[in-house]
Order: sequence, then structure tokens, then C-alpha cells
Amino acid sequence: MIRLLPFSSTLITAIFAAAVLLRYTRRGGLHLLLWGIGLILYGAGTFSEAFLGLAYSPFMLRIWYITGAMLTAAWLGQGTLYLLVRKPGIAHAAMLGLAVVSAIAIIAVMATPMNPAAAYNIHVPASVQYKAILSRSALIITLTILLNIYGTLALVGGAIYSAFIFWRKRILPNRVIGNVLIAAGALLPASAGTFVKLGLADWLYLSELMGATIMFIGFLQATAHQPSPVPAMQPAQS
Amino acid sequence: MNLSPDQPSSGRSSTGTPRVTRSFFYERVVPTLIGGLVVVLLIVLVLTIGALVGVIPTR
Repeated sequence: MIRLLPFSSTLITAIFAAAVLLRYTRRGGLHLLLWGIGLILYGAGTFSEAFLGLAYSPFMLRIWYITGAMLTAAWLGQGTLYLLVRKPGIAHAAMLGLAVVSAIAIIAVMATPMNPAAAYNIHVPASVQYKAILSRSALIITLTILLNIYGTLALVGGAIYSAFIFWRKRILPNRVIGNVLIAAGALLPASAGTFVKLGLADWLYLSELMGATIMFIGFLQATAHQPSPVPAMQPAQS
Repeated sequence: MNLSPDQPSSGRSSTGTPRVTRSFFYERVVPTLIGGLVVVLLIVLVLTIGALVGVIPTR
């Protein structure tokens, strides 16, 4: 039952990505495009995870690691950077750096040898057994950690910052709540590595599903048209 | 995946946005949530950086 969760995560992420990219086609904005790409990577990660629960494929294991473990958070975070950084040059420079690092990461993972002696068990989560199969170099491990630090800091930190600014200015409560939900949702898969280390590999599936769902709700909340007046936030004493 | 204060919005106050007046939820719950998220974010970052520090010298 728990191994069906990645299919659900993939479906929700696909709908989420479509909603973000649809908004991009209507409004433009590189942040929306990069979030859309990040969500496609998220969905590719959960889909390959679901696939690996049914059958083993070395190619899908590599895709799972590249998308799920390395690139998703960084590309989502890059979208947030485009939204928050006022100087486009800084965001463009970071984008160039991310593109180069992503290319290096993809080449490194695709070129890394697979351990032929290690047998893959489809009944065990990929997150538990990939280390025995995928011979990760120090470069791959370091890039994985750096990309995740960058992505988590930008995505979650940016959402928290935005929520705080809206809250302090007492404006747009839907965006306060939306950004709080986005930050909370993003933290769930970001902390998945800790779950795995604690032996709770199945929680990775749940954190991915909950993370995508909560971020999607947050996005819908943040982009919802603000009613006037604001009934939910009306003061009791007025 | 956030929407920043710089985003255009359909506001109606002097700043072009609807203003929220005080409520228990807005004054107490929201800042607690934001503070909690900051703490969790810091924990996740410390764990991730710790992994980085642990990896580099041994490889």
C-alpha cells in the first residue's frame, strides 16, 4: 500500500506543474518557469521511484537519483531566487551556475559505475538500497549536498521571508498562509534524508506526497484572488 | 515557491493591497508558525551541512 504513494505524488505533482506552467504562459515570469521545471523534476523523481517499486532498471535508478536526490530542490529554489532578488544579474549568474552544476551532476551520475554484485529488491525502497548499487563518487555526494543546501535555503527561506514580510505589513493574508504552507511542504521532502537514516524509509514516500500536496495548496492559496473585505481576518472588536 | 511582497496584487489600500487588522490568529498563530518553520529549516540545514563536513575529509 505504501508503495502506491509515489504514484499519487507523481499525479499531484503533474497537476501542480501544469497549474504553475499555465500561470507562466498567462503571466510570464522566469520564477514560474523554473518552478514548473522544478516540479517536473519532482514528478520525475517520484515516478522513477514508483517504477522502481515494480521493476528494476539501472537507467531509472540513475534518473531517480539525479531528479529526486540532486536537482529538484535546487531548481525550485532558483525560481524563488528569481522572484526575490531585485537585481536580475545576480539571479542570472546563479542560474548559469546552477545549469553548469546540474550538467556536471547529470554527467557524473550517468557515468558512474553500477555495482553488478548488488541485487536490487523491488520490495525495498530505492532510498534504502541505492548506495549499494550506485557507486557514488565524492564529487556526486558533495554536489548532492550542496544542491540541496542551496535549494532548501532558497525555497524554504524565501517562502518564510515572504510570509514574514506580508505578515509584518499586515497585507494579503492569503499570501502569508500560502507561503507558510509552501515552506512547510518543502521542508517535508527536504528532511526525508533524515527519515531514511532513522530507518523510516517508508516515510520518505509519505513526506513526498504530503510535501507536494501542501505546497500545491499553499500555491493555490497564495495565488487566490484576495476578496474584499477580508472576512477571515476581520477583527472581533471592530 | 513563494509569492514575494514585490508581486503585483489586487489591493485597495494606499499601498495597493488590502490590509489585515489584528486577530488572535494573525497576532499569535502566524508568528509561531513562522518561528517554528525557521527552527525546522535550521535543523535541516545543520544536518545537511554536517553531512557535507563529514563527507569531504573522508573521501
